[in-house]
Amino acid sequence: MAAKGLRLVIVGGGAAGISAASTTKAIAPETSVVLFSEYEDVAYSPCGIPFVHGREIPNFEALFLQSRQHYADVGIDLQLETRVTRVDLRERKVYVGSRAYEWDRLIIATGFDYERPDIAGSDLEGLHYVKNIRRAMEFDRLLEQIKKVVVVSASPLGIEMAGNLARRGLETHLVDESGWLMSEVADPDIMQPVEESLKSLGTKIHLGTKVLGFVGSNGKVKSVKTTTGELDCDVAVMATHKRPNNLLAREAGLEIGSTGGILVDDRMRTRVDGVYAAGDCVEVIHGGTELPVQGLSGSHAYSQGRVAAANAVGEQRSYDPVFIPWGMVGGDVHVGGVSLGETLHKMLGIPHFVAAATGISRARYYPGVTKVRVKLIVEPKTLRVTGAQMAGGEGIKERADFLGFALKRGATLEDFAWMENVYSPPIGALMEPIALAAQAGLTQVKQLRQA
Amino acid sequence: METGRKQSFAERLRMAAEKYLREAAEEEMIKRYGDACTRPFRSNGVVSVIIRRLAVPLFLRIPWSLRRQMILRASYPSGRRPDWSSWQKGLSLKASDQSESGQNSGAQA
Repeated sequence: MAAKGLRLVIVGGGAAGISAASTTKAIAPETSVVLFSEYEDVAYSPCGIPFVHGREIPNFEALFLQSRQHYADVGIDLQLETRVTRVDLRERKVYVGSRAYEWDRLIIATGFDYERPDIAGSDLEGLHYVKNIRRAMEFDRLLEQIKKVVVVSASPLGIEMAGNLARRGLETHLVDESGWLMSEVADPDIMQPVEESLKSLGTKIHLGTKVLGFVGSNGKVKSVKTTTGELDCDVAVMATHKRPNNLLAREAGLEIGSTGGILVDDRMRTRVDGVYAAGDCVEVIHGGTELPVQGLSGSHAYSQGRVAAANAVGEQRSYDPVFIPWGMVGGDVHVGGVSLGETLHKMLGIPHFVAAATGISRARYYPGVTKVRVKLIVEPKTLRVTGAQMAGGEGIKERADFLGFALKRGATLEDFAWMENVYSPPIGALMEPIALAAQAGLTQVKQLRQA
Repeated sequence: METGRKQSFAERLRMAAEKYLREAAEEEMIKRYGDACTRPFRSNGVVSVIIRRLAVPLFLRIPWSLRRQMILRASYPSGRRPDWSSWQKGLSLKASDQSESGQNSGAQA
C-alpha cells in the first residue's frame, strides 16, 4: 500500500486523469493528490457534446458528472486552467511556469489533440474542434445564428456531428477522402445503412473528396475548397484524426512508440520509476495481433487511469491487451463490432474469411423489430473469430461487448454457431444473428472442404 | 498543451505504412463491395505511385507471421518492448476491490 504522505501529481483532467485521482483517493485516502488541467472543467462527458447540438440532450449541464466541490470534499486538489509547462523526471517536479510542484508518483494523462490540416485558411475563425465543453457551449449559441455547416472527415465524431446538425435543421455537408464512411475502422457494407440514414436526415455526403483549403472573408471561414468543388459554409467542424498529446512527455524524455503514444507496460508504467501514463496519450497492445494501438474510447482511458492509480499507490493491477469492442449511432442506425474488421484484416494482410448473416433483433411479429447484420471475420485454420462488424437498429452495443469478451477468450465459429441465446419476443429473436452468421460460416467451410 | 510534433522515424514509417496499406485494402474492399463505395481520392505523386505499385504488393507477399514480426521490430526501434505478458501468464490482476469502484469518478458517464 501507499506510503503515508505520498505525493501524487496527475497531469490532465480527462477520463484517465480524473479516474486516476478518484481511484487514488478511494484506495489510499492519505495520498496527497494534485491534478492539473489546462481547461476550466473536469468530470463531464465530451462524447455527449454532439447530442446536445442535435437537441437529443436538452443542455450541456446534463453532461457534467461531478462538481468541483465534490473533488475538494474528497481531498483532490484540482488546479484548473493551469498548464504544466515542463516535467523534470530527475528532480521529480512538474513546473507551471517557474513554480515547481514536487511528486513521488506522476501520472501523465494529457489525452489527445486533433490533427490540424496544413492547408490554406486553417487559421480562419469558424473552424471548430469538438473537445472542450465551454467552447461547445459557445458553438451551440453560434449554431442558432447560422445555416450552413461543413463537417470535415467522416470519422465517428464527424458522423455524429453531421447527423445531429442535420437533425437540428442546418444545411450539413460531410466531406471525406475515403470511399465510405469511417473507412479507418469500419467496412463499407456495414456503413452503407448509416450513409443512407444520414442522407434521409438531410446530410449531403461528399465521399472521395479531399479538402484543399478554407476560403475566408474578414478572417472568417465562408467556404471549403475541395477536389469536387467549393462548399459554402458559416462554420466548419473539424472531426480530423486524433493524435496523442505527447509534447510534455516527449520533452521530458519519456519513450514514445510508433503510434505517437507514450510507451507503457501492462501496469501503465513508463520506463521511468514512479512515472505512469494513461488514456489517449499512451499506446497499448492489441490482443489479437499484439501490435501497438492508440486512441481508443473514453471507457479505455477510464480503466487505464484506474490501473495507473492503483499501481502508483502500491497495489498490483494489470491492464489486459485490448480487443476494442466499439459501437455508435450514425443517423438512426446502430453500428459496432470488435476490431479488427474486414478492411483492417486486409490492410495488415492477415489470413481470414468472412461469415455473415442478417437476423432480427426481436421476434419477427413483435413491434419495433429491426434487422441485424452480423459479419464475423475468421482465421481459416483454427476457425477462431478474430473480428466482427454489425449494423442494425438495436442491440448492437450489447453484442459488441459480448463478442469482445468472447474473442478475448478465443471463441471459434463452432462456439458461436452452437451458442445459447436469450429468446423473448420483445427483446430477442429465436435465432441469434451472431449464431446465424457463424452457422453460415461453417456451411462455407464445409463446402470448401468438400470442393 | 500542444500536441508533440517532432516525430521519430518509427512514427513516420507507421503513418506512411498505414496510409498506403489502407489504400490497398480499400481497393480490395471496393472490388468486393462496390455498390457500397465511392471512388476514393488518391494523390498522384511519383512517390505515391511507386509505393502503391511496388512496395505495398511486395510487403503483402510476405507471410503474415513474418510480416507481423517486421511490424513489431519497426514499432520498437530500441528493441525494448514494454512487458504486456501478465495476461498470457495468467497473472492478470484485476481491480476487483469494491472500494475503488469509481462511484465518485464519473462511472456513470
